[in-house]
Amino acid sequence: MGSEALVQGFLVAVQPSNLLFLFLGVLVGTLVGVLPGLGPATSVSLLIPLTYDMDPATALIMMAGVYYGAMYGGSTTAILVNTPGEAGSVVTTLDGYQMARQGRAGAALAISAIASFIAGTLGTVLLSVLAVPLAGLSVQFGPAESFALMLFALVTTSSLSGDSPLKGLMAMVAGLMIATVGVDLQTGTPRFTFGSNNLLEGIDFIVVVVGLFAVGEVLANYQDLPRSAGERIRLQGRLWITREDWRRSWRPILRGSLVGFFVGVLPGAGASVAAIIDYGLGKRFGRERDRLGTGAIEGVAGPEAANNGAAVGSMVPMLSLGIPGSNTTAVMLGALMMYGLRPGPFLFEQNPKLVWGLINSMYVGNVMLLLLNLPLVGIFARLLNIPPRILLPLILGISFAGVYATHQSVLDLWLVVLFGVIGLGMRKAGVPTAPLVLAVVLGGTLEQSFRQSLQISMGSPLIFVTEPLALALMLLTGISAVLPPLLAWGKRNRPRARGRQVAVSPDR
Amino acid sequence: MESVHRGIGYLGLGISLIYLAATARLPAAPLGDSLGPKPFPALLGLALLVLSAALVAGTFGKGRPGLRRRPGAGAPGLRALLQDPGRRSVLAAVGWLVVYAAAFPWAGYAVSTALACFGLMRLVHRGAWLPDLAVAAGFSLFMYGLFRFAFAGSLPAGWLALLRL
Repeated sequence: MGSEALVQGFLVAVQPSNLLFLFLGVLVGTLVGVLPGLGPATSVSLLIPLTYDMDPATALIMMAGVYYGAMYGGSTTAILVNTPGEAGSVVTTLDGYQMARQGRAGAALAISAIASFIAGTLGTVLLSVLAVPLAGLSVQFGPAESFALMLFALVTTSSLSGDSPLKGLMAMVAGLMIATVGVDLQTGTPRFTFGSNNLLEGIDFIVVVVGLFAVGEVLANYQDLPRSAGERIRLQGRLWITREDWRRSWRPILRGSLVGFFVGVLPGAGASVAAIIDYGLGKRFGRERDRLGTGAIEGVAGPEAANNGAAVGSMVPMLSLGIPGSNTTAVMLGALMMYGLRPGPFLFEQNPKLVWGLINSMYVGNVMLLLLNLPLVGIFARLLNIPPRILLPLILGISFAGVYATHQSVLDLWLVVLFGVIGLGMRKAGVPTAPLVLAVVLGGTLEQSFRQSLQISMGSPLIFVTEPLALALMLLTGISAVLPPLLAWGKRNRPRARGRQVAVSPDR
Repeated sequence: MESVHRGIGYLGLGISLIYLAATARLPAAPLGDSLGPKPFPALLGLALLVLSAALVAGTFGKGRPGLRRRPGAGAPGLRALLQDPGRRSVLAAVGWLVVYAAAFPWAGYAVSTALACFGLMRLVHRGAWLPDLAVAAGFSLFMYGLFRFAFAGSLPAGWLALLRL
């Protein structure tokens, strides 16, 4: 596999049908990113039922387009309304909105598009380089190693999400419980179906994603609706940057691209974490540190590069190891499994056209997004004129259509409402939803790996610590579970420690 | 926040006990399968039990401010909750979702969606109702048409079947 696979991939990417669906994907993604309330994970999950008759490569190209397209679109709302259109743009509001208030919205939007393009393209190059060796590594993975890797991904996501690792872990276990509903694949035994035939196939991850993310978000918005809406800045002036703007921005763009990509590779650390880390690095080490927060163009360039880098980076573990790096790649992984495709080295060997077609389509997609976003951002900005009271019910209408189209099951609609209420409750209680969603997607495979491992070891759990790779992953899992609460405890106790030192030291 | 954590913990304890009880009723491992369908769910139930207990235990401790209830303070009653306009909107929105799901199979996608969208729009808008109705009906028919004719999908026609649509 080498240049031939790359060429095959490009030929797939530039097929007219794939170009059309790529364009639709990036367009929908940009719209989704601009409009608060409907994130890329929900949008991709709603598209899945429409892709059943499609070639899997085409479907994945479109879904990926939605994902990184949303990263482009999210900055528009962040800059013009001081509200992130999607989670990865939350940091962009800090300087982007200030720039807009200073009459520099055009420059902010332009640098956002340029930074996203550079990061997306650079990230795709890195994806091309890293994906194959990483997939090759997973050849050595047996059931025990697969179990340990998935557990590491789940525990890391749970520990990093939200303000309490305990609540994150509880959400993770709840998601794994949801994944056990249905017929047990190995024995054919119905589990937790309570006599319902509709639950024999289990609870579809699309139902959980749409319920938690779309319906839950809409319900949360209804609480704030009577007193919501910040001031919206009108887009005026030139949509371009000066030479000085570029001189200040290229370093943050490069830093953000690399930081975002490698953070995106980590399970659970999505675009928003990448943008926050990049902003923190800029605040600590960047030349722009004194200007950040006052309308500095670097404060838009770096985080926007980071969130796009993370979007591409999260595809590395998804394609190579079957471990999603973000919520949206978790949904895409679910789609891959639905198409009967198993991520990892076999995907690269048996479906090279699909994988390289997907990767190479990202080069084309980023060009499309740059061309869409620079001249047309004014049109996208007009979407912000749609009052939330109209937009929110329409999102629910789209959600119900998408969910019902999956299995034509009315039970799914009731489950969506239930998960919507649960999602609202989780938001209010500070319980992160990402671990639950990830657990629902990975739960079935996790259990199969667990049972296969114990069958190989004749029931001995020591297999998870005697295999070297599995042991290393289990140790990492333990560290990721224990480290965040330890660090938090250390931070709480540090001021008291300083106080004691001051009291003891005779020189003060 | 401690009361919220305690509530989550108790809820987790309840769910884990119900889950473990349901797990206990699963059949044992069949011939040829040394594990069967029980062990993994049992581990999950125990894990949630332990985590929930840890969360509840973490809310009890010496000198934690906010744990001692102020005199006269108690959980907010239903009346107090409903006085908040935001919470009223949320409850009403959930109500409309229930109506939506209930009407969906027999009224069909277009009619139930138009009804639900109109109701949800009117929750926070006291102005002219005709534009809201037009948007709700137009959107519903557009989506139904998109799924029915463009995607060859299957959304229930319901009352539209009377019009042979």
